[in-house]
Amino acid sequence: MLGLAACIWAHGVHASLATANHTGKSLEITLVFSADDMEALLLKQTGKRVEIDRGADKLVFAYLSRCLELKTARGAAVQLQWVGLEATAQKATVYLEARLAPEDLNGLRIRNDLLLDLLPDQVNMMSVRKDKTRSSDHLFRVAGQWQTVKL
Amino acid sequence: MVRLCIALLGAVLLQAQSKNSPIDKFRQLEEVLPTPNEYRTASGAPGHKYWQQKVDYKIKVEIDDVNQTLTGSETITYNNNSPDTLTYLWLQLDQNIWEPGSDAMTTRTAPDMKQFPYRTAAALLRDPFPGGYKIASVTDTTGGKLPHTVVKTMMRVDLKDPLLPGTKFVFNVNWNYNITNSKWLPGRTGYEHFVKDGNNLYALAQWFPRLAAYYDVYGWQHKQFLGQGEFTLEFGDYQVDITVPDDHVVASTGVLQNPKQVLTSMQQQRLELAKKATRPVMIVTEAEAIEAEKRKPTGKKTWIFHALNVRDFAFATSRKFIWDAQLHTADGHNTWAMSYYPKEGNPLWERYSTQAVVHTLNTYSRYSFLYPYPTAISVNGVVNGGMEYPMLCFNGPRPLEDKTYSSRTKYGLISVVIHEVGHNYFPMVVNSDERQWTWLDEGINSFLQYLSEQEWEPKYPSRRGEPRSITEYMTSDIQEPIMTNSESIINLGSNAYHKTEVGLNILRETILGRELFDFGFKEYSRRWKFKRPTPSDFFRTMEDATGVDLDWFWRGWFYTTDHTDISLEGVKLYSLDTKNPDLEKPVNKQRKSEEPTSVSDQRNKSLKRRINEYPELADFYNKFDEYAVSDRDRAEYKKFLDGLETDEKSALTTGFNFYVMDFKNLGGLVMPLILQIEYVDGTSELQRIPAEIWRKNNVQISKLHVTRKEIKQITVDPFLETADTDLSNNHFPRKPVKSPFQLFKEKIDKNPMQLEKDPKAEAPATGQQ
Repeated sequence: MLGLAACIWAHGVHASLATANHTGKSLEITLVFSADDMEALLLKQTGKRVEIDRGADKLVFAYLSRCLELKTARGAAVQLQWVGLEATAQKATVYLEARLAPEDLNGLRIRNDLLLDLLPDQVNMMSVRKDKTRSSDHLFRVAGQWQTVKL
Repeated sequence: MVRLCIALLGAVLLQAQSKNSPIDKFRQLEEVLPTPNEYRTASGAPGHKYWQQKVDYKIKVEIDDVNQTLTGSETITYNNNSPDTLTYLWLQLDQNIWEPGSDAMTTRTAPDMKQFPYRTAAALLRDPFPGGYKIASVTDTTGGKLPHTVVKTMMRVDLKDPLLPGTKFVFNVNWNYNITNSKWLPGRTGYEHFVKDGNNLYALAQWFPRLAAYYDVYGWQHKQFLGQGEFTLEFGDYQVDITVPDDHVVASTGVLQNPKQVLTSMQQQRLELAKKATRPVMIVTEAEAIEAEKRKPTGKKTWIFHALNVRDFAFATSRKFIWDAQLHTADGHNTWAMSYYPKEGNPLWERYSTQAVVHTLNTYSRYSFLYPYPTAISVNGVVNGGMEYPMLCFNGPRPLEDKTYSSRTKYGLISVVIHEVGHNYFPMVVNSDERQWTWLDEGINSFLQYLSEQEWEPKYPSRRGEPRSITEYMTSDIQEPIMTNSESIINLGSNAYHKTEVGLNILRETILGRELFDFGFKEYSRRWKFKRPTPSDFFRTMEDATGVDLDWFWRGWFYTTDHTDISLEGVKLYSLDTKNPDLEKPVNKQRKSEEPTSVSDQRNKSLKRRINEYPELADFYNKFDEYAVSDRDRAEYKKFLDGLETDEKSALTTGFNFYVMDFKNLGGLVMPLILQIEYVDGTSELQRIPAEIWRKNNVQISKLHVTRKEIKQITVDPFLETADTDLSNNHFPRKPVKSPFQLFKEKIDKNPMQLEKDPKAEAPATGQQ
């Protein structure tokens, strides 16, 4: 199993935080993760250094499309659309949008494997919100796990 | 009767489990904090019998660059300053996480087999790395073998005679290990191999058997090391002889004792120049380092370093090192700020690393205490993010191969240097237990990192710090209180680092104010400098030094998962009844006439009425005008006035408005009320009401505001300083609020022509910031 686990940031901050707000027509997803960890992952995948805030949108979206999946209770895939990426000194924020009928929100299935293949202690938190008072909170620690939104 | 009981019980349970329980927000912390004793006082200071162990090391270590191995021998002097008699000592063997059968190795879970990069496959197919300590011997001063037992990453050394309080024990350990290649086994230590020039760069940390901490509240701190947790260690003095190939440059904790033997005369001359420089001076230039890359060593050299009163020791060595230095002087105390990096780090490192080191020394010393050590070093290599050791840290960011770098890489480097150099203060000097309480060093350090970043340049793109940055985490159900053991916290980044950092910011900017907070924080730093504080020592000192009861804040922010959501539910206007019939009656008449006419009344307007047909039906009551002012009314008013004092009379006539604002605490966390009140006449005022307004009722309160003016709008928390999670209920009248998602989308939706027309609009985000 050698070499799979990377202790990239030497402290235990391997976590992402996502919120998905349903506006009535679509799901607006804001995804915050460590820019260092994502760059380390892209280096592993492509074999060359990538800076996340310089033309890496396509690479990041391609990766996110693989590790973040949504499908309705009936099994129909929900397409994610790229809105954009922002980076500060150590943090990256990605904005994604997905068209989703209101009746499909409850029972929506989610898989969020972000960085789980790189970091054994990565945790991904995700809150799906219909309005201010109703939220379905999810924690992903194991790759390949689907969770169901209950609102 | 039975049914009633069940229903009541259910209600009580619900209340107890509720995240937003309306009880206890101001209950004192006494029952939660440990009982003060002679080691730790109720004021948060070290007690009169405070003690800590001292461990001194004399080490000889050699690096074999051909086989990438480390061989060492150490003489450890363990001073038992505790009141306890010890029958064994525990040592940490961190390298043992690289043993093929270690817990860290065997408890890893499977990779994602659908996305299986080539490199991962290559790593899987390699033979297991023969890592871990080989302990050659553990002996006493006469050479007699000491019984010892290795328990994974810990080793117990049994003493022949019990070690009494106030006595010391001297013993020797010999060991060696294979150094890990950071490409295959990334971590806090190892070597980085540069394929193009064939050279290695070693970053060596956690490289010798070190005494575990033994202290009053925990006993032996010997939790197993799994590669993620950090440590707490004992202070002591180190003499370390480091033998490396004779063309290497060594960066190390401590002060170099034999510069004449290991440095060229040119390097020594440049160091002399650097003593008076105001900017970093090159000691080894990039051109010299590139020349050195081509050389082969002809022998070995031994670099001797001494370090006093440090809790650990790390070093780095390579022939690739470029080295720059600047002597930083503050209050008569000199510190060498230095950086060591391969050419791959330039042009970023030569421009920013040492500058960031000096900047950190300036800012952190101002908030805590004067940097006590003679060197502060930043090294590039091996570690991908950053990792701290006394006087020396490893930092990862580098430019691309074409020597260009993005904005994030630049600020990433400056931020990580500030963070890791900052760790020299917390926890290298204020020696908190990182295995138990991550927040006590990481949270405090992240807070000071944020303050330092903001002093670097305006609008510095800090990762976190502003209260609004934590709101998403605060509303999540997936969280624990900060005062949870580090191992049990799901998201340490948001919890121990981020939430602590924001909490301290709120305490400084909103609750205590800068002056009071800074005094308290400095006092905590001073009291626990070179000692080992616990969370209660921090909580107690901050209250002791500022004179402010903060139990409600510690309880809410550190012991619960409540969040801030204060809602302005409504505003009622009352004005005084002057009793003057000439004033009040016309007003009442006006009010009456403004009342809506009912549908029936509207439709009945043209109705034929009996009284019109028979006018004799009308009597006194049909003609009486209740709004007409009579002499009798005026006489009664005069009588009323005569019975009033002068100030009561003037209050009646000055025309004040009495606004009653109703607030609800929806998030559970009590916070000061910050109100911006805007008036119809265009003026405004800011009111700061302490959190104690919630002390009698944590759920809903009303606040009276008396003014001559008419209010147009009220905003709760107008500068977003309390981490209020829902801003849509912060306004009167209510106002729609845009989410960060919508704001970002608007920013990128503007096309260049729109931007040209609207010069105030920011450039569309292309990932740059």
